[in-house]
Amino acid sequence: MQRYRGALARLQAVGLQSARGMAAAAQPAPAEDLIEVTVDGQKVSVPKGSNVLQACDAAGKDIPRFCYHQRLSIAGNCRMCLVEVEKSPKPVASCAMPAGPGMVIKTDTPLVKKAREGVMEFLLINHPLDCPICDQGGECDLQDQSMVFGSDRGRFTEVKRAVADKNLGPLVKTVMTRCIHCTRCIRFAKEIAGTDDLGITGRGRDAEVGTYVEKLMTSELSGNVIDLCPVGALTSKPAAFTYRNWELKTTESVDTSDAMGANIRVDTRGMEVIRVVPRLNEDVNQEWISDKARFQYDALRYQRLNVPLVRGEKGLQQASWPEAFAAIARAASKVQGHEMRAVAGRLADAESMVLLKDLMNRLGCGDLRSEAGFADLDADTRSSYVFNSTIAGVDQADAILLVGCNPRLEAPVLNARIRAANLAGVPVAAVGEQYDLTYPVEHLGANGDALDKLAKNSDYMKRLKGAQRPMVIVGAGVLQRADRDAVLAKVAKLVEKGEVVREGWNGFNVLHDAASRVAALDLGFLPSARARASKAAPKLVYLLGADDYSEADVPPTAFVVYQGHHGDRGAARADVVLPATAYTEKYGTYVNFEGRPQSTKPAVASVGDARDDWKIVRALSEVLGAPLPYNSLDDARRRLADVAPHLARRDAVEAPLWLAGEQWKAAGDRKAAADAAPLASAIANFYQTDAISRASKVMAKCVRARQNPIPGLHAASVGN
Amino acid sequence: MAGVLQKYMAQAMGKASFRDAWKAGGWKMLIDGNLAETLFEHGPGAELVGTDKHGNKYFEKKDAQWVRNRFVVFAGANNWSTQDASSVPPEWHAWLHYIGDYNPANTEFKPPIYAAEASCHPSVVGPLGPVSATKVHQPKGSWFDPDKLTWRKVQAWQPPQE
Amino acid sequence: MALQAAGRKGVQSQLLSTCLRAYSTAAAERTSFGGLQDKDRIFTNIYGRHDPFIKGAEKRGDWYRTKDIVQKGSDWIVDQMKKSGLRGRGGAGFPSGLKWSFMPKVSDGRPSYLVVNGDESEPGTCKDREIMRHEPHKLVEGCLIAGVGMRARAGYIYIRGEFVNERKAVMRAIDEAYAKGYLGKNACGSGYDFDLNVHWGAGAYICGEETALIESLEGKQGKPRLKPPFPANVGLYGCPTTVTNVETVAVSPTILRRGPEWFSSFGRKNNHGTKLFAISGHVNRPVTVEEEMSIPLRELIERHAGGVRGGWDNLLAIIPGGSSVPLLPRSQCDDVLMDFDALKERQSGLGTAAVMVMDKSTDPIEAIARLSYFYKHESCGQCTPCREGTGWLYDIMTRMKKGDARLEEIDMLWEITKQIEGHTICALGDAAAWPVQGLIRHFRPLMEQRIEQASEELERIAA
Repeated sequence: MQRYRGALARLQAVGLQSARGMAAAAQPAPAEDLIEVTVDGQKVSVPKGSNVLQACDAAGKDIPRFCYHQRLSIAGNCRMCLVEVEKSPKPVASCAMPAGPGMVIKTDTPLVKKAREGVMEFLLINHPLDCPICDQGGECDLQDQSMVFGSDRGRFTEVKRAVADKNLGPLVKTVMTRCIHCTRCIRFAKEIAGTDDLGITGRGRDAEVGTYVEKLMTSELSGNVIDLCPVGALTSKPAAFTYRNWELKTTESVDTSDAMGANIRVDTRGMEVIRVVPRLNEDVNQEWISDKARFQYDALRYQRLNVPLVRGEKGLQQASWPEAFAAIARAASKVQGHEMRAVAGRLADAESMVLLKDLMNRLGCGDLRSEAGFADLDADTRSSYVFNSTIAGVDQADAILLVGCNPRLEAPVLNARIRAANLAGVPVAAVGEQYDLTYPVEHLGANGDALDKLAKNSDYMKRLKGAQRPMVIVGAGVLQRADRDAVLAKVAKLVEKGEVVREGWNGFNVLHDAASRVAALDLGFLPSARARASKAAPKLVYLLGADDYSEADVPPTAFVVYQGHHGDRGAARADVVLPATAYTEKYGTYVNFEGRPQSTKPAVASVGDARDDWKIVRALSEVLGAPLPYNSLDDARRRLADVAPHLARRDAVEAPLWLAGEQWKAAGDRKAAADAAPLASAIANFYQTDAISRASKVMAKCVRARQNPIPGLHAASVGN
Repeated sequence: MAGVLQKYMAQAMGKASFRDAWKAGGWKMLIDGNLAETLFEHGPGAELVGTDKHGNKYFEKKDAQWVRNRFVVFAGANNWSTQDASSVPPEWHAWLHYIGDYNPANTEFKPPIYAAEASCHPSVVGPLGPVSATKVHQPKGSWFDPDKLTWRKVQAWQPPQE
Repeated sequence: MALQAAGRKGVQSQLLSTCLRAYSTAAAERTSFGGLQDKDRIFTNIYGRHDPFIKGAEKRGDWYRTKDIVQKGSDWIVDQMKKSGLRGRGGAGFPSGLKWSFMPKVSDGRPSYLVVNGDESEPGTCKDREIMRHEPHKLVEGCLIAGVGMRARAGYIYIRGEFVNERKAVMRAIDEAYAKGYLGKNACGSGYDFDLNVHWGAGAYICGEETALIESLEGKQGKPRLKPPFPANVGLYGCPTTVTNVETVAVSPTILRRGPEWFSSFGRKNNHGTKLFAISGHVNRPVTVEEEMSIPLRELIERHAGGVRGGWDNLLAIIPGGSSVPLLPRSQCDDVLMDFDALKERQSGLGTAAVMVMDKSTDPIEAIARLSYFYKHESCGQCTPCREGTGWLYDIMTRMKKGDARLEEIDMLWEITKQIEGHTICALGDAAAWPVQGLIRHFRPLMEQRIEQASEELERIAA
């Protein structure tokens, strides 16, 4: 029935099915699903259900377009993609016309040329000629297409229309006079982001795109409308008037603001990161990124650690690298190896973690941990802590159960994918606190007891069993609870009873919330058995970019070394601060929650005296008398591959073995009691999760804007 | 030396305008290329059309090429740091930019309703000088804004002082 | 007068031929039309002289043995409609029987719907309005029969927001029909379930376009959908739907009662039947009248509307089918027949058969400029050519009114209309373009003259 309801929303169904079918489209379709059409005399075979525009694309014919977008529903309103189809008296909009077998399509006839020229003229009559001051200038679809398909002179002598700009919040700048009403942004907000914030008011020439009342665009994916907008109507507010796109140097990198590992392109000019835009990767982020990934880059200018600092009488004072190392060596000489501890932060890369682990082990220290309280997690079985179904697997799932997780904040792009599945009829249920996930969720209970109830032959259990490809997604919040083992044992029971893991399908998933987590677990950045047993407080703590450590991790008397790139909680607590590089400044391996190792690349130079993380650890090892034999990044990566061979196979997911939940049986034996507190998400404030986003002014503005999404209403009530 | 120059300039320019110019800029034109250009190239033969409330002087040279025939010598022209282009009032701005041909010196302007609001804008009102200069929008790295003068591409973290 | 007399004579001879034809099946093809007799009128209460509601309607023959018609079944109804040659009365003139037959014969689980388009907003058109307020039972009964014909479970009548009394009349008629058991479960005792609902819009012209009407009915902004998929496949609430005009639906019971042969005996080939003509403008007695299809335009006006104000020779131009068809100049009005094909030959169209008459006191440029304003105002703003083009047309037409233009701008105007026409999602773009095209086609000398006059005037002032 739910599938059917999806079909009722005609437009949505068309667009989302095609978006969902991406995985299927990647594989070559069987011959019987192909139809043959003729484009300009050239025969091409396209899958059934393609439209004429896709057929033309397949034939290598460039069809101009504004409103058509592969991942959005079809609006067919820009009329730019008109082509001639034999036996049709009028030119047809190719994006809206399904390709039929034997169709004869012509894209270069005088009729088509005339039609395009006409539509282009209409688009331009009310479009302002402010290209010289428009941020879209140089990468504007309208500009490009008017050069190719437009007329070389205008005939419009009337007065142009002007439209008041809309306030969509601190991220998206609007110049609505430039809008050509392609409605891509509206469709994105409605279909992908799931927040019905945008729409058209007015008719005819008075039609305006905007929020109906002045209102914040309350989506974590709102920045994507900037990429979607074919003209300069929606541009980046933080980057307004700071660049021309042809000045920028692009670097293909990976985002570290969440654990998804969204593929990004970092655009820089000189020393500055000017903007961050998504890079296409069907298996990870498709072509969306979250607002945090897109707009936190301004923090790379603020609160940077650019020189080593050593705590003196007047607090932290600037020092040289040798001085800082000497201070650490002095402190280290006073403590035994087993009195040390290393804590990895959210943004630590795999190379520095493996080197730090080696260094600590050489010094006799086994107390390694992540800041999120994973100290006693049993990470022997990889399948117990990664997203086994893979992100693309969401497209194939037919039942999804969320346990203590809020994907909207923890991985907004994944949430969009789950939403797409839900719109296509996949039921989503949740155990844990209730969140607004932009799609309807069946709420099955709040805490661990609810999991028990589910496992006991409940109605939902039957449905889970009946599903072909069920998914259970456990949030990072569950792993960070004190009663984690008890809750995980319940989940394990549920997974076993619901047959979530079956032949060819592993539906057990953990959704991590930080970029470094999976790598830390893969590398065994966990305390040794001896360190676990030890109750003694460490005397020297090495924070590898850790700012969200718990108080228990860093005892008040300990000597603290902080290695990182932003001054935050960790640096303020530290006795020695070693300046390192941020993710836009270094080569670093990050493993996303699927277990997909990807590498960031340096887009800008490091700041001041800062050095790459792995180099700092390598240099420190020399000072501490336990020199590491890795002298280059390649050495470090080779060591990485030794420890965890799958991390050498970049951009690929290695499906881990499922050991029938053995690992939890041991955990369950500990008989820890689950407490009654609801299973909550690890993230409450989406915009400020790590040292970078906390230093960002733009993110701070977003937080303020979220507190007051309808400024007009607020002002009125305050005024009274 | 100065006398010779003064003599040449007195010949080259109209009487009134030269005196004003000398008072305004004086010998400093030797190091200020803008002022020199104004006085030597455009200045000779120019007529003083009026003076606004800030003391900026507006000249017109009838026989010069259109678009080059109206110019302003700022009140603070003798000190480069006190020149403030934003001190030109709207009516004189209109005249300077050929938005209208009305001479604001002898024309009564009815200020539009929003003028009261606009005149509160820091970049419009306020006496000339460093104070007003900081209120005026200055781009980052500007000489006139001490805060922006210390602007760096990357700001270092300041550790909390004990 | 002589001409009028000649017209009468023609009518008489044609009457004779009608009578003859009633007796001989192999009658020769008729060449003259018009002069519909009272006994052949479908809408016998079009002027509201009698009781429009159930008592009066039943007296006029509505709801008479409807059960039998319903029980004949869908295929029979569609077949009869096909035989009758009825073409859609909403403007496009698509054969109704064929349209009804597009509905799925076997449901895939989705119900089918009938939607009746009562959003009569075309300037000059006032025929559906008369049906809805004076013959509501014809409409309601027609809905049942059309609903049965297309296997619809329910019908929706979408009435224009401004038609308040019409809406009330239709609602009362529906209530009466329900009370009598003609609608609802086991409608008319035939065993067929059929429900009928009334919905009213907010008065947007574009909501008369079938897909925009469906959107509006679903509670969304009235903006046309893309076709394909056609409403017969995916329509109201995603279910198969057919949108038909009020008049089409309202004539169907009478056609089925009197037989398709009776209906197809009127009018030329492919243009059969009777039709409501709404005559307005510079005539002596503006009127909505039911007449035979293919009646000569001149006869229609002189017989029913009391002739053109100041005589036929005072005629300037006629818009024969509502605001969205090109106008016909006097020279073409003399002999043109009022049917789909004849008007199409003259590069105009029958449209809704709303005849707008303009005498020589009219400024045709200003008249068309006003229509351009209408289309500019009513464009939904969805697709580019219409959104931008209608406004531009209006801007240019406003200048043309005063002659404030250059001669070459007439060609430009023509080109712009061609750029709009056929490039839009719905037909509103075409509708906006055609009146201007008609103006340029027939009144170009006038436009040129006005431009020259205006520029001379300008020169005179400058000198």
